Amino acid sequence: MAGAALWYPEGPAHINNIAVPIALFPAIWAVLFFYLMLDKKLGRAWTVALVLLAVHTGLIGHHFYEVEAAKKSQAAAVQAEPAK
Amino acid sequence: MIELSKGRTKELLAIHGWSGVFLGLLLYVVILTGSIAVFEREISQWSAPLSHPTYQLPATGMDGALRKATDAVDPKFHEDIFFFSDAAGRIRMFLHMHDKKDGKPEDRGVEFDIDPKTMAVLDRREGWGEDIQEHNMPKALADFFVELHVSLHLPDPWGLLLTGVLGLAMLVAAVTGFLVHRHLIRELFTLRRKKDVLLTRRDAHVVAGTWNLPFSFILAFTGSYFSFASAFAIPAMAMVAFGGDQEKLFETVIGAPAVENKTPSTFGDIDKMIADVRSRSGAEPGFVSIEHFGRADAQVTISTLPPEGKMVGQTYLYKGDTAGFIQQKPALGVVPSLGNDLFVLMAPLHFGNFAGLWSKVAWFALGFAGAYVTLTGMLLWTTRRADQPGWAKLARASYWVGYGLPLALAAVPLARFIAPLLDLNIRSTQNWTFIAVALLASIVALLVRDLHALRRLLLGGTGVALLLMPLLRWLSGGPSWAMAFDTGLTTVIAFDITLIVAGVLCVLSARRVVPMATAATLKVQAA
Repeated sequence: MAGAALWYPEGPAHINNIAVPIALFPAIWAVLFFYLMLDKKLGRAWTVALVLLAVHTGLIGHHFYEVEAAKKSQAAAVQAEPAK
Repeated sequence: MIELSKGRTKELLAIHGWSGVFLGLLLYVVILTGSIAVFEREISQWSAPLSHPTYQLPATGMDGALRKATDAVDPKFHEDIFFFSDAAGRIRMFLHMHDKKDGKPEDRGVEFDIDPKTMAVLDRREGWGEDIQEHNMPKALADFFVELHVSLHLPDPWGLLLTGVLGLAMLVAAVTGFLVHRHLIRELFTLRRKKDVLLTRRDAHVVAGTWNLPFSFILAFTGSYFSFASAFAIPAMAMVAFGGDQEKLFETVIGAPAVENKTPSTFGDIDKMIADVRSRSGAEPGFVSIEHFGRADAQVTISTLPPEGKMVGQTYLYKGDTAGFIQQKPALGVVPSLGNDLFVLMAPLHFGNFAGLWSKVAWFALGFAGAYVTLTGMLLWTTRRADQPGWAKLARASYWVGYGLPLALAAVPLARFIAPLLDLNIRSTQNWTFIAVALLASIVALLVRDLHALRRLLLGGTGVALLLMPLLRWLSGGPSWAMAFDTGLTTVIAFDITLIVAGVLCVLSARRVVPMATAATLKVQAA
């Protein structure tokens, strides 16, 4: 759900990427739950769950990395300003 | 008819049963208290009525009350002000600043209870937002039921997480309950009353559950949304999208923040803004929020109650300094969006407050049916396995919770009326009474071996407690029926009559001899 904030379209009000995943959280969970409970092939169910987890963890990690990098470059720019 | 293979039906039936058994008793607590909490407003009007009932913002006088309140508090609490007609009929006005308590965002300020007719200040409370509500006595009784429903009186976020999980379990039970019906239409009407009593009981569970399926799904979905949103989803979203800044998230999602201008300025006439909303919307203004009172960038947001024939209200923005209309906007964002549509639907669907008293009565009845389905499901499931020691204990626990919980809940209003007479704190007396009666019921459940006698005893006790409520309300200083009739306090009379009827039904039901289900008979039926 949290990862969806990074890929779900913002829409005209620029809030859909935040509001929609929060509102649909029970549905997201239920779809995953029923799929994992009812898939006849346990290996496939595990694979799907782990891939989804890995993709979203990766997305969030990458986002944090970019935010930190932006902060560092901003701080460096501020430090460089007085030197000019 | 839903076509499923035998194996798949068996799997779904197992998920249905186990989702109920694992969390069924707690789920029953949440559903039953939720049904009662539907009448949050009416409970407060009944337990702590004003002598002149009015449950909307007055046409004039709010502007004077607002200025009086702002003069009476530290200007730092002008940062954010909101007021609305609260559940007990008083206008609750909270002047506050956004602060942090133990590292978490929390509001701090001063709250006033204002009489909507005389505009007199009835109560003044100061401190952190949560602590202030602890001292809101007119709402104490309703808050007890709401808190038990929302978080089982457990500390945040654990209570919310637990009720969120319970909501998901209910969602699973509702979906699997729908899928395992092999003859959905037939089961809506099958109640074999003239055959075996036990068969009738099983049919009653299936009929009530089948009729209740769409409603259970809606309640489970919206309930788990409300629990998880504040306990987990909003902080998680704030962490990912805004580096953990929840205020920034709210600002972005709500939209249309004014350009910052700290220059001191006069404030426009709030009565004029409220009147303008009435004429624009044709609906009753419900919630008024003022940001930066006394500054040039002051902005007023007024949300209405749902207009006639609609499920959701509207939101209007005004400039604070001139009282000038800015725009009508969705609750979230400044232009219509799917996110806003989903967000505004959640509350009316969960609380059932979109069509006044009638929708609340419907929501109560459907919620009560949900509690009945949960309890009968637990009793059928455990009784069928009662020849095994572990299941026999769970069957006894089901009787304890199933019939002991209504008794403990019915004792709470009695404590609410007795506490002021003994000079005790109302909220803590309510909590301790509930715990004491629940413990007493557990001792009774351990001592009385015959489950049928246990049911009769607890149900009879609940009936007596319900019958005592109107009497104790009146004896503790509440209005008599004659006085309530004269002053138009119809809620008080209607609630008293409902309690008396419910009490009589409980006593009659406790007197009725019902054959007990046994593991053997239920197994024969299942076979």
